[in-house]
Amino acid sequence: MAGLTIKNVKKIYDNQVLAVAEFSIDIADKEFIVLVGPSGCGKSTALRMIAGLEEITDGELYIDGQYMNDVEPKDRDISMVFQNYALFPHMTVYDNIAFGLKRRKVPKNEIDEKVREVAEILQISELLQRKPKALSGGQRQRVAIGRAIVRNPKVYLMDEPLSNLDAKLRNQMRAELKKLHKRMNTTFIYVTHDQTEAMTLGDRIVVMKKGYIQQIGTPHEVFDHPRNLFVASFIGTPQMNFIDVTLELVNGTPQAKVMGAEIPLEMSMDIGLMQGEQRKAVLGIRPEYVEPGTMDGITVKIIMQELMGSTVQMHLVLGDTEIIAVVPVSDAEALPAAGELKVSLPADRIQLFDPDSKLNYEIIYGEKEDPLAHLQMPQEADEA
Amino acid sequence: MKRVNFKLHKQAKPPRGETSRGSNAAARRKDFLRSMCFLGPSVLGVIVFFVVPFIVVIYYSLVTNGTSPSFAGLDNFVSLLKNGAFQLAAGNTLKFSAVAVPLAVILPIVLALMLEARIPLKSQFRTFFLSPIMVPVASVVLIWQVIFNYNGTLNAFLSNFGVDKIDWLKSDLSLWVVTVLFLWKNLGYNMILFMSGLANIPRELLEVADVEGASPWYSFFAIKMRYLSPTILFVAILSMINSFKVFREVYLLTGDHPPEGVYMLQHYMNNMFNSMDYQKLSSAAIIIALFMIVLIAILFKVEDRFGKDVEG
Repeated sequence: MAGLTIKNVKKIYDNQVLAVAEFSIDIADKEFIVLVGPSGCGKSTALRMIAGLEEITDGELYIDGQYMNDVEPKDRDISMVFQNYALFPHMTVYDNIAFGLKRRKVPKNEIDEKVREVAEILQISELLQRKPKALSGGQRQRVAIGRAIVRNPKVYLMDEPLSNLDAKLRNQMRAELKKLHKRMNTTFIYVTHDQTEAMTLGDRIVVMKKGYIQQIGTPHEVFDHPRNLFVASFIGTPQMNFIDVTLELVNGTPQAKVMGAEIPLEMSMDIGLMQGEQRKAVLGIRPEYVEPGTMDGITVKIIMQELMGSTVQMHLVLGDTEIIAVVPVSDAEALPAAGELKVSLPADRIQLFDPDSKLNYEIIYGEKEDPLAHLQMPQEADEA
Repeated sequence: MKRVNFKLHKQAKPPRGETSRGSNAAARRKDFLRSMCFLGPSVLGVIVFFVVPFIVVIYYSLVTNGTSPSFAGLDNFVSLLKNGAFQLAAGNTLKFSAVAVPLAVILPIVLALMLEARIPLKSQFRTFFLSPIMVPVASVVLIWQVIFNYNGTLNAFLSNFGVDKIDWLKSDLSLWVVTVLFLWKNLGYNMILFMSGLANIPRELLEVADVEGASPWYSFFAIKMRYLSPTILFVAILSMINSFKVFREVYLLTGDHPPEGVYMLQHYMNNMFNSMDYQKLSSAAIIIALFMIVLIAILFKVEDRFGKDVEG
């Protein structure tokens, strides 16, 4: 039960590879933080630095207000769950769970009590005498989680704990992890490359790319107000539609033009243009917000429809840009299966991005200050 | 989609009834013949160079000497075991193995652990320990002779500290000299085996141990050693066989009839060969082989208990 303060933490490996650049975040007590990003974004390295398994090249780490940079992993009062479970193959489930307590010389009867309690919580009581070899993937993961929670540490660190499970089990375990967090009432720091896990589990999400933090925010903020193009494309499936547009003011009203069509934007939106000026921008809109089959709007061509169950993904072409619209099956039945169609893009759902800096217009022209303004990723690193 | 799957399935494994039993047997025979084409040369080699000589050795050990050999039962073995030279050679070899084999296992583990840690000049150290493998023994023996000679380097060096001259190869210490030679030659190879063994230990297990508060000693004995046990077994067997065969170095250092302290089984066998005493030679070979088989079986059993959960 503790908050963490991470200040400008950096990791540069011996071979001069930059793994994490300027990682800073204040994590509140009992918060569930998810670090998410594509592979090689530095999320695991960041977690491992918190655990003490990786040396911190620069910066400061505080757990519960205490400076932790040079503290041994075992003295940080953390526990960690690994992707491949990391169970000791020669020990029974019982001994695996009891491992940390035994190493800390906790009295035997106390160990026994705690192990059985944890086994009860994770529903693995009947497996206690088995060895890891005789367990399924899901059971092994439960044991690994059991080993982590039995000591009741201040912070739980989880490195892609569900990645080795099949889809169905993953969903189930995800829900259980969420319950577990409520029950343990402790700080969780969770690493994943799966944006669904990030969205569903995190109180706050840290989106990373190539060692740089791209955005820190609640799932809602990250989804609806992505700080830049990368976050916008990484969070959400199917990914956000991006359309190259030209911005201008028409009678004082901001508008986006594409292929001769005009897309009205919100009246209040500040796009930093004077009357008569034009600027190129990237318009982003989530597939869920695209409204096909409206009376007026932009004409698009239908490529195909994919039935996803309760929704239909419509693949459309606007000019030379392919966009996707997600509509409920009931609505899709009323729409043509081929040919042309009109779609409208609700003004209040539209995000605009600058093609050069990749930043959201909300950041560039909005009133809120960008908390990550000082942290500009070098252009060449971005493109490499 | 289903259809395609079905077709693939059909190709891979014909359902019963479609092919008759007869053609199945024919296919198997063809398979056997084909595999024999590949295996044949090796099988032939093994038979000619290992199986037949071994049978010949057994034959020689069971018959009397002379032009018209007759069945001798275990007489050859009895006389061999009573033979003073054999007793000396066997005793020396056992003594040598008892010292050299544990050292040939423990020291490389220590070296491998050392080289695994982040230390400066790591690759230089590795090359240093590996170089003896590449050097032909015969060419280095000269240097060893210079070092261990009565008027050699080591004595000269020790005299600086007021130590009296020792005739290394003729003293009680001669077995130690041979041990040093043996280790010098074998450490590097064993070390490489242990390094690869260490590299195969799942990193996460050691990290979990770290996070959960295990001491370095615990991590070493309870985790690393367990994962190293197959390598330890292999290195121990290899070293044991090598230690039984230690000869080349001593032979090159001291010739046919070395000082008593370093008269090894291989010397004995070599001399028996030279004096055409095939009976003693064969009996000795069989006794050594049996001894090795028993030792290796014990080692396998121990390793089986210790390492069974960590393998595959």
